[in-house]
Amino acid sequence: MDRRKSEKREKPDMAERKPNPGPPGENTVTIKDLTVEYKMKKYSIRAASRVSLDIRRGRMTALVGESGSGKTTVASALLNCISTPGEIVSGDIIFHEKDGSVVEVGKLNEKQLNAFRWSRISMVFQGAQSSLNPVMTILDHFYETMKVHEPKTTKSDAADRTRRVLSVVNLNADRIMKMYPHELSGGMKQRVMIAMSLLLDPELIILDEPTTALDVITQDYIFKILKKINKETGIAMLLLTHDISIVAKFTDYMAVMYAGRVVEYGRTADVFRHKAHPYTRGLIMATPSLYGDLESMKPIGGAPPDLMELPEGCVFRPRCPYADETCGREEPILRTVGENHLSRCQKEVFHVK
Amino acid sequence: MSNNEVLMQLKNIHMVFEKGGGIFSRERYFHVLKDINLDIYKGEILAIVGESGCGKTTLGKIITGLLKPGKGEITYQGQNIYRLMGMDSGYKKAVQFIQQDSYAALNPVKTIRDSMMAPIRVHHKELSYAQGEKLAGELLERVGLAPAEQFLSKFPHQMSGGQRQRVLMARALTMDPRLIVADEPVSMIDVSMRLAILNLMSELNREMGIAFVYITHDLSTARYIANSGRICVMYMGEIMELSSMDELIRSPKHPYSQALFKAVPVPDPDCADIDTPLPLKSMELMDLEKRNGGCPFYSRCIYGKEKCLCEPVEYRQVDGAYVKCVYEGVPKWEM
Repeated sequence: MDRRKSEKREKPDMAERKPNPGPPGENTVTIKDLTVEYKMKKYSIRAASRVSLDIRRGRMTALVGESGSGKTTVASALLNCISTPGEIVSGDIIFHEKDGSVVEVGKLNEKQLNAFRWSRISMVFQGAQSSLNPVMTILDHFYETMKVHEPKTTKSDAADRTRRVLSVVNLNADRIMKMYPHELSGGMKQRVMIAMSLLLDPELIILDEPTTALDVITQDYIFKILKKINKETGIAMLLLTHDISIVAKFTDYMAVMYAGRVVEYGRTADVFRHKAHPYTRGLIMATPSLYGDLESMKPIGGAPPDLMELPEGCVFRPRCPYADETCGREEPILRTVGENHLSRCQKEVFHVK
Repeated sequence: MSNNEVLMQLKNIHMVFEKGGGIFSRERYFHVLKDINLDIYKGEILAIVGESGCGKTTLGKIITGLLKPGKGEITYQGQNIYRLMGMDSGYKKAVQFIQQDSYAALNPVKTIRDSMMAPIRVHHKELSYAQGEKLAGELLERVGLAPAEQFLSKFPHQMSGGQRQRVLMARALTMDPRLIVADEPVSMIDVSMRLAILNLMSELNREMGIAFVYITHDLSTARYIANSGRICVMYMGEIMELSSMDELIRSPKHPYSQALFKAVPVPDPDCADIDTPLPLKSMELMDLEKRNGGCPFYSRCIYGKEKCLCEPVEYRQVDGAYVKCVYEGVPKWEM
């Protein structure tokens, strides 16, 4: 840990950092067969079931799903901060350092974890309004974060760093730093949160519905900033969202989640073109668009799954228009249907030719 | 199925909120709505689109009579609604409101039966309890909650968001309304179920002739529901563009509408264009307190001229659309 800290201080700062610290496309984090259960007295709920995922350097990967599909559970597992009664039952989360060494997140002790969180993987939370402390200035927020990770930091060091990260998100640092959260608009607060996630030079930023409360113009502006950071610095990004239109516009890879399972994973363009899982198909057809045919749009029938009473076999079977009796026998596995493209549907017709 | 008979008319509506006014600070006023003129026709679907804080919910509340505007006149079938406010007049029953948060709109300790029966007991005094219950059951089945017996004895927390939203719809129908103002009815519902609720609303519009005012920040769902209706784009308390949905989708005319259209993501990666910036001068919003009569979009508008800031903006009619912009050189929209 100490070694890493001393390295970090010598590292060039955000604004000066040259593109692509590691080769883009290489894994930053590999999740293998991750299973998370919330154990109650009488029953347990499997919020994530054998989730495997690659998160790549310099790319934006989306985790799409409806509420309760397990997106946030997977993200919490990445930082090993699932709250009780939840626990990681099985699976590995492997973090790849730039120099090739690996960190197994599940094996870190509490002290190591505290140093790992935010400095290697940081997070932008949903609703920036409630993530900032109303009685602290913006600079104090940054100073506090740095102080925890690098106890010797002085306030002027912090101000320098803060100025740099705030300029990355196009904010006028000298003005913003002295302000209190209530003086900023929603979009500005969210940009402050993004700047804060950049502060310690992480390798991966988790974005949990970063623009839900914002209007479309601000949303577009924020995503363009994120995309620029993503491309220029090579920081990997994991976007949790329910909005498939945003996924189509801004991400490179996507994983569709349903009832705690990844049902389809691949390059965004491939997934949209082939739609190898009926749920993905339904989701795309259920999303209204400004252009295109309105007649072909239809909702997915049935109701979202109850994690306590999942059906036998394929979990999407009760809502799937293509399901037949063979789907009820056993749960399909995630299999390769094309290059870098996986689907959890056993029907061959949906597979890429 | 809209005809051109006017159901409600809003004339020069102004709404001002007051802020501050302590011992040391002067009172400050915010124009939440400014000079709104809007006709709502019988049996039409009108979408009101705008970003958060543009006054769209305030406008919805004014239409339903929940808020009284500072200035202006609202008529329902030609009569001023503030003279109609008594219970006997048709207005209160004919105009219903559906809120965004269906969980907050239903009493958590009462069953759906109780929630449905409350308005029936008050407004349908001629019905016995059993008859009232029958009506409640019929309406629940009308909105797709069949069999009704199964839902009548449930509590709100036992239902999904989509089902609760349907209950709100059924409860509004107990009044046999002519107009339903729906404020973001689908924003809290899972994506896969949204279309079903929107479809239900268009069905009620088609089959029962109920007019809908659909308030949203989401242009895509607005297009879906009001495809053959009208749309009204709001910005900072003013209507920027009012036209048929068809016309707006084909060619948005106000610089704000154009920027808005560019910003809406399309669910197709082939259409993704992330390198061109939006047609905006800056992201800075105008300070609501400082503006003086001019165009509120001036600070972000790429076509903004000196005169936009101080001259009051009048509506212009361009190809059947009303546009609140003085500048005539806004280029034609290209897709």
